[in-house]
Amino acid sequence: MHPANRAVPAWLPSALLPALCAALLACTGAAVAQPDARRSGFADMTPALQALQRDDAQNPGWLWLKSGEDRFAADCARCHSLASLRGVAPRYPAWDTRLGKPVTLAGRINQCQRQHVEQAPLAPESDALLGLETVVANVSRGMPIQPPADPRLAPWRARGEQLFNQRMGQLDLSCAQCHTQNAGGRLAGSTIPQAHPTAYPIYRLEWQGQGSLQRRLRNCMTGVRAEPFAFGADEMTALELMLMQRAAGMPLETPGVRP
Amino acid sequence: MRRVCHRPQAASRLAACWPMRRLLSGCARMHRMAKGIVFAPARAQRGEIIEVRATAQHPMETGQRVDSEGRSVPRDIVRRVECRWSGDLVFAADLHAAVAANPYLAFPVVALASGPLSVRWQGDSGFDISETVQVEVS
Repeated sequence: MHPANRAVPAWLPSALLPALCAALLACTGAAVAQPDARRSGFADMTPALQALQRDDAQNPGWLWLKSGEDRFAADCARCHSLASLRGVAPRYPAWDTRLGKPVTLAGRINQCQRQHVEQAPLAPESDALLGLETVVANVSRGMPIQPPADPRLAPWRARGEQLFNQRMGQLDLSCAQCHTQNAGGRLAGSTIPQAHPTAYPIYRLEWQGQGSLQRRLRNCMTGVRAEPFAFGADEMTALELMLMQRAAGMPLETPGVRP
Repeated sequence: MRRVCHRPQAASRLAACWPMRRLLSGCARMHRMAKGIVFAPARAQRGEIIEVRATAQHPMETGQRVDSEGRSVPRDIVRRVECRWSGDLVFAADLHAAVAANPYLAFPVVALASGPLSVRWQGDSGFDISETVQVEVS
């Protein structure tokens, strides 16, 4: 072989080569960030379903988005512009000083409904509340989830973490057993997602309608035959806080479509 | 199963989750909030075939189900969808029970002249909504 064709210079002692390679790898490893192992549920869907979410003309969540926009124009536009709400949804749940505890996005919308629109709070999972939630989350579509660094939220996140890891129901299963330890595996025909709340409120084909993260959580709880926490319960807020922290940095996709 | 779904991969999942669905989807939606959406290109060439996509918020209750008390849930479906362009009927469909909630229809229309393109959904219990978009033909 001609010396010029050698990949390694002839002067390099061959014994040094492995050490040099390892050193080089260590350098590049430090410079390049580790690839994110987190996957949105979107990545686990069939191409047909992904197309349904991507195409605004087909995405059924748009029905709630559009009716939410109508309600926003009627009730909320006096104080808020949609543009000014960009970046709000990725920060929720957030601490509420007046309540002395964290409040979810739906809770915040209902506070406004009571105090400023001066009407009865919207029922959980009502089309009206889901519509407004969809509108507010949609203006932040594509933005990374940014949970607030408020230290007062830390005990709530810890409580959420504890609930996530706690076995519950007649099937005696915790959230973590499926969504952390067996994520990517199969539960009957369905792929088990990593449970990142990146697209709520979602249009779920199984529901044939729009639903919130809390509805989805209650779904899993009845699935393991536990008594589900009520809508708006503190445990739900704690779980939401913990899940949003876990998904920090992932882009918001609202309105999402899920099987 | 409650209704036949036009998306095959979803249909099998619906069957698998039937008891949970019955718990969760028992509430009937009010028509007051119903919304229709029509997507069509804003501009088209004369003679061009354009695609119109229309979807309406509707539970499409088949009339075959019973609620948690064993009472039969009355049928509540969209019966007819009509699309008119400048008042002329260009597309119509009769829908029946075996259609999923929030029915989505996509159909081709030949662009002849500018005008309002409106889609109207009519169904049980006086359901009647319509949505109009403007299409410019040059």
